[in-house]
Parts: sequence; structure tokens; C-alpha cells
Amino acid sequence: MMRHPLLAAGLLLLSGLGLKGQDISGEGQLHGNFQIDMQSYTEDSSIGATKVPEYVLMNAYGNFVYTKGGFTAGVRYEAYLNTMLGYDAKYNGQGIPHKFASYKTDEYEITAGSFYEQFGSGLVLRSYEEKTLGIDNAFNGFRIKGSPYKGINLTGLVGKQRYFFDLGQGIVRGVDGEINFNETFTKLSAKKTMITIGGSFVSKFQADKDPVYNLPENVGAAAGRMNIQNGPFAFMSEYAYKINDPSSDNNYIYKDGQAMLVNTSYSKKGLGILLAAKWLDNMSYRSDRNATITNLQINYLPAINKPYTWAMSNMYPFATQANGEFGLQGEIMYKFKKESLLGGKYGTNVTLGYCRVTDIEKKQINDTIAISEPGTLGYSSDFATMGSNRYYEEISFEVNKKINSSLITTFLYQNISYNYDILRGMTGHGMVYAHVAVADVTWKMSKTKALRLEQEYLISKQDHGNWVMYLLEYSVAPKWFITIWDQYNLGNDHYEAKNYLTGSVAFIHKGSRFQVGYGRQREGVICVGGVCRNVPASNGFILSISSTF
Amino acid sequence: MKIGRRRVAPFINSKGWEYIILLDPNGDFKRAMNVINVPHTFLIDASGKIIDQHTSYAQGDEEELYEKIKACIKTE
Repeated sequence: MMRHPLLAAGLLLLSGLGLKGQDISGEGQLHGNFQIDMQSYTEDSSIGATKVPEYVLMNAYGNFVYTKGGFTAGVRYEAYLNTMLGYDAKYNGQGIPHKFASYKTDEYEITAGSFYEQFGSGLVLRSYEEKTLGIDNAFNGFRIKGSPYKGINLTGLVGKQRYFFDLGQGIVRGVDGEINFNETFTKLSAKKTMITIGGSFVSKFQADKDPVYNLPENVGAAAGRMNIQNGPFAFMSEYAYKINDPSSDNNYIYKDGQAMLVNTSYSKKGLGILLAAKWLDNMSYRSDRNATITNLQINYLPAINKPYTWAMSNMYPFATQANGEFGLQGEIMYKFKKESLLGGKYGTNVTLGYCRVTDIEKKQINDTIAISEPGTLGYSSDFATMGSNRYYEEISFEVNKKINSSLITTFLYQNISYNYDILRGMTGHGMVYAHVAVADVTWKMSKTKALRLEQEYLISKQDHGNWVMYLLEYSVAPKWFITIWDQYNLGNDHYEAKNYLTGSVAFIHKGSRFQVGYGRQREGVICVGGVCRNVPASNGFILSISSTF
Repeated sequence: MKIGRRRVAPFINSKGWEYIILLDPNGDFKRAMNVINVPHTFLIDASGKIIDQHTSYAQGDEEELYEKIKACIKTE
């Protein structure tokens, strides 16, 4: 699916008059949003929670966007006074880190200022924001998008990337082209087979000030992708190549990088099957070779594992390994029909999933150079080889069933093998093996009142041992959510038993949400799409206000 | 919850959902509509005007949405 129709639809709705953006006449509109999150921190040594000198920390932002016909301009003000724990303290302060102006017609769109962009799956370029992770690698520069002929989309951009309230050193330039054969060639428009092909080229420049190494100042990466759809079958694949890019991520080796994604799926009503493979070799790509964590990344390497919202499922979450990984994933989704034996009155959804990620095979270049020795070519690797070190493996089974008009249930079982050292960047922990079981039952007490009970269990002999979680949520549509939950760690020889009890009340009014809560939060990791953020343990109040206008 | 682009077609077909589903791979549409939390529901009339919006979802929210749609049809 192309992005253009989507953004056109968005701007259409905002302008409110169905204009195609040919001029700047018509009604001007101002829209936006804001979010304020505050948390208090109390000392609680039993869970490792610390207090902070400010007592309360706060992250907040507000977007204000004006549109008139084809013209859009916006600013985002952000304030971290001071930054909440778990987010980088370099955010401390306030300002306007994001401002842009754009003009769009049927044929082209130009943007000046801050913008986000993705080429294909993101293997060579993706700038995006993910507030829960504290990620915002927006470009600041120029972008032009055009459709010179139907079915053909071209994008060109140049800019620097956001680094907290500043900009990173490196300059990034990129071009992307995509052709949808069925749209471009009218003879193919009625054909059952749909084909889209795309290609990108990205280059970054950063001056070499290193006293020891002779570092490449211009590093280029290219990618090619293909999507084929034919009735129930779909095939998606993308390949990326990056020239030598010594950086702190790869220990300053001069090896090139490659990535390959392959996805196939079959789906018809009531059945979905998908198979995916991902291979990465030295594909970290930043606009500053010395940047770390999630700062100044130019590309995004998609995660192959299935994401879950359950707390226990996220105890040991997968983090993408840019330096090398080989992943396989398979999933079967089936719906037992209504009135059938296993389907019951409303039908039953069943999902079976499997995922496995290992390292890749890395061989020494010669006898004297160790693998990934700085200042050398690093290592040699053959295309798409699977290493013997397991990073992550998971088998999962899920059932979603509406039992009667007032009872909705979800059951999940997962068997997880987690390479703690690799995925958390630590040593001495070894592999963690865990069983996770979730039972979520919603009882619709009336048309608008519902009570949800969520039970989660994590059984493991490693790390902190076993966990039990109970959550009770009472909702009164459309305005109230009252929730109380407890995560209880049973403890083992190494760790004492611990209780994490929290309660919250949320009030919703149209596009606004007010939430207050109090309790203990365990130390953990939040991951979105294979990119993670550490969350420290805390004890205190939380307040969250958000609104879309 | 974010669902990868490649998983969308098999996921939707397996559930038997028959309405139109559009993709927003890099959150461009989410940003254009100033959405903060998903799910976020917009009620839009035939001329493209946003009549109402609602953030989050609680069992029974569809009752209020249904009443609003009925009210909308009466006035058009």
C-alpha cells in the first residue's frame, strides 16, 4: 500500500473541504495535540527505586499544525523539566525541536524543516518518533516527493538528524523510487497479479577527525525491494548493502554490511499463514559514527518476533542485533467457524507461532586478526548463514474466544528461550528459559459497564524466578477506567520475593485522556519493534494528560 | 499495538474482517491526525468534516458511537 493516498486522505480531512491541495485558498484550520506525563519518585530500597532531588519529573510536548489548502506548517514544543527516569537526561530543558512547512499539489510535495521518512522497510533509511522509547531521529532539511507519472513515486531528501534539542553532525542525503506496475501500465491494471518494485540510495557525510584511523567520510547504502501479490499469496522482499562504515557500534571495522528480508504469506477468509526470514550483517547505520543507544540512527532493522502487550510476555523482550542476526518466523492464524464444534456461537480464533533468532557465522580473515578487531576488515561472512549461538526462540499458542454475549476471553501460552547476555548487553546471565501463560477474561456487565480480569504467570528457574500478575479493570464506557494490578515475584535463592502493586483511574472525554495512578513499577525493558529502552524501578504517583484537538 | 506490515493481510483475513484497512507504515497518518494513543476513533461525515473523536476503547464505546452516527444521519 502506498503512503501517498494515506497522507492525501489525512490532509483532505484536515482541510475539511475536500480540496485537492492545488492552492492555498479555502478554510485555514489549526489542529494539534499535547501530552504531559509526570511522575513522583520515592525511595524504596527493597525494589531498587531511588528518589530524585526534584521530587517530581516531567516529560511534555505540544504539536500545533496549521493547514490551508495545500499548505501545512507546524511546530512542536517539548519540555523535560526534568526528564523522567529511564529517558536520556540530555533531554533536560525545553524548546522547539520540531518545526516545518510543506506545500502539496497533485504532482509533488515539498517540505522544509523537520520531517519523518521511511524507504521500503527502513533497512537503509527510516526516521520516526516513538515517544515511549524516547526516540526521535527526525530529519531537518529539505524533502521533495513527486509522482511524475501514475504509479511512479520518487522521493529525495537532504538533512541532518535530530539529537535532543540539537542536530547531529552528519549530513544525510537519500533518494527513493517506487513503481507500481499495475498503475503505471494500464494493460496490467486488471491483472490479478500486482507487482511493485522499489529502490533507494542513501549517503551520509561526516568529517574524519579521528587521530588513529583513516575513516571514510562518505558512507553509502543502497536497497532494492519487491512486492508481489496474487490472490491469496503475497511475497515481499528487500535487500540492502552498505559500504564500509567503521563506528562505535561495530568496533571500528572496515567490513561492508548487508541485510535481507523475505516474507511470504497466504491468506483467505478464516486462515492466514506467514513465513518470514531476516538476515543482518553489520547493518548499523548512523549519521554520527560515535553515537550510541538509539541516537542518530539513519536506518531501522525490523524485528521478526511477534509483539505482545502482556506484561509477562515483555519480561524478556527481543532486541534487534544490528551487528549480525539470522531470524526465522512462522505463524498460522485460523478461525473455527461459528456453529462449528470448536467454533462455538461466535467462532474461535487460534494462532500458532514460532520464531527463532541466532547469530550469523563470522570467520577470521586470517590467523593474526581476531574477529571484529578494530581498524581491520573485521571478519568474513557468507551470505545468509546461520550461526550456532541462539539469541531467542519462542513457541506460542493463542486462543481468542467470545463465549457468550457477555464473556470474551483470550488465552496465551509461550515457551521462551532468551539469551540474556546478548539481548541486554551484559555478561554472566546465560540463557533464560520461561513459560508464560496469560488468561484474560472480560465480563460485559451491561451495555456500557465491563469488568476485565487478567491473570499472567511466568515460570522460570533463572533470573528472578517465577512471577504472578493479577489485574482487575472496571470500565464505564465511554468515560472511565479504574484499574488495579499486582505483579508478584515469588523470589528464589538469589532474589527476595517482591510485590509491585499499582492502581490508576483514567477519565476519557472525546479526544482527551486524564489519568492518575499510584504504586510500584518494576525494573524492566520496554521494546517497540525490536528497539528497547531500560525502565528503572520506581515508586510514586503518576499523572498523564493528553489531548487531540 | 503495532502490527508489522507483512502480518496485516494474513491477520485480517484469518479473523474474517471485511472492511477496508489502510496501512500507515511510518505513522504519517497518525501524525497528520494528531493521534497520541491508539485506538483513536474519528467520526467523519460525507463532506470530510470530523464530527467527533474518541481516544482509547472501552467495551460499550460502540454504543455511544452508534448513537452519534444515528444523530448524524438524521441531520443530513
